[in-house]
Order: sequence, then structure tokens, then C-alpha cells
Amino acid sequence: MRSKRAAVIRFPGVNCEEETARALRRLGLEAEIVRWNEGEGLLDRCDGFVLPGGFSYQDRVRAGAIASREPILETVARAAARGAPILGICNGAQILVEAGLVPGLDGERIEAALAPNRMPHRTGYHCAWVEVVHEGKGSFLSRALAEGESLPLPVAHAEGRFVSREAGFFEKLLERGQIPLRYATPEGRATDVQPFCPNGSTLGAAALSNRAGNVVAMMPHPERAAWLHQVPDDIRSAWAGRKARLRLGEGSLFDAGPGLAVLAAFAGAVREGMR
Amino acid sequence: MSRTLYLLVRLRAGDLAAATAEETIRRRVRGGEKLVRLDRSDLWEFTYQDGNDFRGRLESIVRESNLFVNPNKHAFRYAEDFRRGWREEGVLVVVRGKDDLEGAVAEETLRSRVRLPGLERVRFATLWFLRFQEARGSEALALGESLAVAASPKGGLLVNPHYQDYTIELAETGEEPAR
Repeated sequence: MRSKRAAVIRFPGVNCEEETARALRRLGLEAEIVRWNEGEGLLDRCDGFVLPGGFSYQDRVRAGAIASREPILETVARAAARGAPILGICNGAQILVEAGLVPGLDGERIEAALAPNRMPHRTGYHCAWVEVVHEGKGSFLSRALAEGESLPLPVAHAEGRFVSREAGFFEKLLERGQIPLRYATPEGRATDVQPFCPNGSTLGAAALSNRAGNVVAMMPHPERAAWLHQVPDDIRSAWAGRKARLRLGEGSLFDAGPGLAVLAAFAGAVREGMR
Repeated sequence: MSRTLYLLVRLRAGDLAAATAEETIRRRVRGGEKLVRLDRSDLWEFTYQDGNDFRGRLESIVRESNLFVNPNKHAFRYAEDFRRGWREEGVLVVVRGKDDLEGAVAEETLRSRVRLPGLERVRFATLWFLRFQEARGSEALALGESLAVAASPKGGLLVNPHYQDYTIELAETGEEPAR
């Protein structure tokens, strides 16, 4: 029997595929970086799919819009329908939303958007470390994150505000457990208030999942927080304290960082299937 | 009396975003093979109180700053009606963010830093010009809407209605009438 394998899809302009694949390999998966136009046979040889971060097609028209029309997304949709775990990170999340795979209540429609950030006094790109809290037991993230567990992760985007034109739509998703990650205060309380919620996202949503929980679109970058050396010294988090203790000879810069749990949840779902 | 002036700004060199969108629509969107050409402009809409030589002052700001136009890379024209003055028949799709952040930022700049008298409102949109092989009139409008609005994964490309508003209108050929 072949070992479990994840495809990390490289669209023109993405820039996080190598570190995403590296982290997945450290977690025991075979991770294959696949070009967007090499989709043939993917369903037979891969058990999970990651759409990594970056700027596919230079964010032309809208972030993720062009890539979402590529035929490989039909392959990803077929894999999602079979229950394969799919993780979209940042630009990958934008692609999954534009492809209608999340929240996926009605597979025939695009049901949401990742709109330009709404920030006080300015528009555009924003990067920062933020706190997110895990809520909703419906997605594969529950394999590695406890309900109510919070963790610091970096965000880096210009279009990260989850919105829908349908009133009450996100409340419905929250009720169904399809908002697995929300921005939070340093104490881990979900909020849509600046600066904790960095982009004005509805209900402070940082990630959405589909109904079955096997497709997750998240704006923060877990692969940029996979190792302790990636954690900044000055964030308000126990993780910064853990890093500070390195000076006392405790641990290693290559110990797990907060983002590794997210990728471990994906890797676990690929290895063992959704349950 | 309130009046409106439009500033249309486009790239002088090839517009790669428009080229990519055109190619994607043609190859991936249902009905896209009927699209012959897709162009893109920035559309700035200035509403102002008549008087105070508003247009002259605005033209001076546009000429002497990089707020709206970089003369090294942009071509631009003014219009009292953006639907007029096109060289070919086609469909105009005006796409604007529901909260129009660009328009709000430009308006604040013109009010508080440039102090442009008579200014009432600034709005920003992306203006797409779609030319079709055969479709004209209402048929062209319907085709333009289906190619533009991203309602489904196989549907249009240019507008995500969850955060953008749009209008679709016919472009009128010929010179824009003099003021």
C-alpha cells in the first residue's frame, strides 16, 4: 500500500509552497508540489490537497478569481466531494471561496467573498501576528485543536474580509460550526473588533469550512508559524515566553510553533481519513 | 447646481490584468467565445457644485500631482457622460466596491489636503469595456452581464456581488458633445 500523499498546488504567483510542503513532510506525509496545469492522475495518487498562499496570477481582477477557473479546481472539487481533506491558506482560501467550495452550502453558487481589508484610515495590504480561536467541531482542525483553544498566527493580505451579501449568512455558518477559526483577543475571546480582527471580517471569521468539514479556507498562515524560530519575541502570547526560555537552554528553535497544530490536523485527516 | 464629471484613466502600455481576464473569460466562462476584446479603465466620478471653475482646478490637480494619473504610464480623458465618446460599439461594466474605499480616500484627500472648493463627492470604479463579435443592444447587455457577474464557479468573472456593485450599459460611439 502506498504511503499517504498530499498535493501542494503551485499556481503562477504563489510563494509559500516550499515551506508548506516542508512542514507536511516533517509531519510524516509525502508532499508533492504540483503545477496547476499538471492535474492529470492527481486524484489517484494524492489523498489531500493544499492551496498555498501567495499571489496567483498577480491578484488580477480579484485575488483568487483567475486561479479559481483553472481546470485543476474541478479535480479539487471532485476530491472534496469524495471527502479528501483540502486546505486553502490565504490566497488558497481566496481561490476556494471564488471556486464556491467554501462554504459550499449550494455547490452551484459562489456564496461569499474575501473583500478588501477594512481598516481605520487606510486601505490595502496588512501583515501582523494575530490571535485566533478554534470554534466549531465540524472541521478537520478539531483533530489537533481543542474547542476554545487559541493560538497566535501571522496574517498578510489585502483582501481578507469574509463577507456575504446575504443578511444573516455568517450567523448561519457560525451556528453550523462552519467558522472554525475566529480572530480573538490575546485572552482568546472571539471578536470582530480592531486591531484584534485585522481586516473587518464578518463575525471575526478567520477561516470557513464546508459543511462536511473536509475543506477549510483560512486567511492566517500556519506554515509561517510552524517552528518556534518563526515566533516573534514581542507578541503577547505564551509562545513568546516559550521562545524566551531558549536562552535558558530549554528547547530548540526547531521545536513546534503554534501553526504546526493546524498542519498536523490536516496531515492527520489525510493519513486517517475524515472522521 | 450639482454636476458630475468623470475622469477615465487607462494604462498606455498593454494592460496585463485585462489581457488575463479576457483570456480567462474566453476560455473558461460559458459564452466567453463571443468576446472579441476586453479593456479596463479607472473611472473617477466627481460630483461638484457648479462655479468656482471646479473643472479647471481639478484638471490642474490631475496634471500637477500623481493622485489620479501618472503621465509616464497613463492616458486619460474627461467626460460629462462616460457612456459617450467610444470608438466602437460595446458594453460597459462599471464595478464598484460596496464601501468604495478608494473613492472615500480620494475624497478625503481632495477635501482636507488639497481643499478643492465645490467638491461634493468622489466615487471610484473599475470600468470594463466588452466588445462582442455579433451581439448588439439588449442581447449584448445580457451577454455582458453573464460574462461579468461571478454568480457561480462557471459564471462570469469581473464582479463578485458579495462585495461589489455593478451597472451594465451600452457604450455610445462618436465624440462626446462639447460642454
